[in-house]
Amino acid sequence: MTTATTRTNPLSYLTDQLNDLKQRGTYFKLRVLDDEQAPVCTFDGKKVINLASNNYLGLTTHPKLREAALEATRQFGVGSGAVRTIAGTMKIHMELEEKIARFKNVEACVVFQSGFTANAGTVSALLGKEDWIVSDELNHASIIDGARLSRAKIKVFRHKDTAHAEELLNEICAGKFHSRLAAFAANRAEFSSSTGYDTITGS
Amino acid sequence: MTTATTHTNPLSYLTDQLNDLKHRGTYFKLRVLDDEQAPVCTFAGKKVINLASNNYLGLTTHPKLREAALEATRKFGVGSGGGWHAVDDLMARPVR
Repeated sequence: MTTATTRTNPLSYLTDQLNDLKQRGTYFKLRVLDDEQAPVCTFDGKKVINLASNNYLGLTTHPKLREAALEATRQFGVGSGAVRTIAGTMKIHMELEEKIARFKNVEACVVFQSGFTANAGTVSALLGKEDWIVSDELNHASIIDGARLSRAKIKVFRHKDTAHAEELLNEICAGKFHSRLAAFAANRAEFSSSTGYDTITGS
Repeated sequence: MTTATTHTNPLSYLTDQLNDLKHRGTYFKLRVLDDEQAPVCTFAGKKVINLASNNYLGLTTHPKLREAALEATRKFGVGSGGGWHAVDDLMARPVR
């Protein structure tokens, strides 16, 4: 006797989830940019005014940056070929970081490839499990990820509610925890300080 | 009467942590690559055989990839200017 084997895809639950999203009208479709990231550009063949990019200063198409990228590609190839911590730290990375540190008048700086990695990377590097993080409920996902990766204890206050934040800080202090410091990730500092614009709520 | 305020750096614990690493001999110093990521290249001014990169197939310096990168930079600029979920989907196109 032969056994009829039905092969069920173990990932079929993902199809169900996607179908569910489609049914609820919250399915996400990527928009495809056909040309340069510019104030007026072409998405999916349609000419549009682009209000959604992070190219706030138009740097992606700035002639000087373009020329620098062309020159770097000619000289160093198409990539670093390794992560920073192994063998992928190039002289041009260090030069950029030194320049930015001078501009910011700080001791040193680290360049990340996105705001997301900057927040996730720095928060998790600076804080540890003996720390407390008091965080706005609408903090960007990257800050939340960084906070979780740090293994610090997290308390979340209502959006922009400083009284609630203070209440949580008092709770922490009253508990006499061996807390090194209470990190106060009150705002989307990384994002709003550079842009003056709240990327979560659009205000 | 004036109050003497001592400004202690709230991040000084990081200096302590770094010093501790140095003391235990586990402090990490980045090696800086001066030229291309190639089998023989220059780290911190010293010519070395590079066995530590992830550039296993030598793609970072392949002429076709370099030309494609130059062409893309000329045509599209130096970056996508957005996250995937926002506006960036150039990479999803079939690569010929």
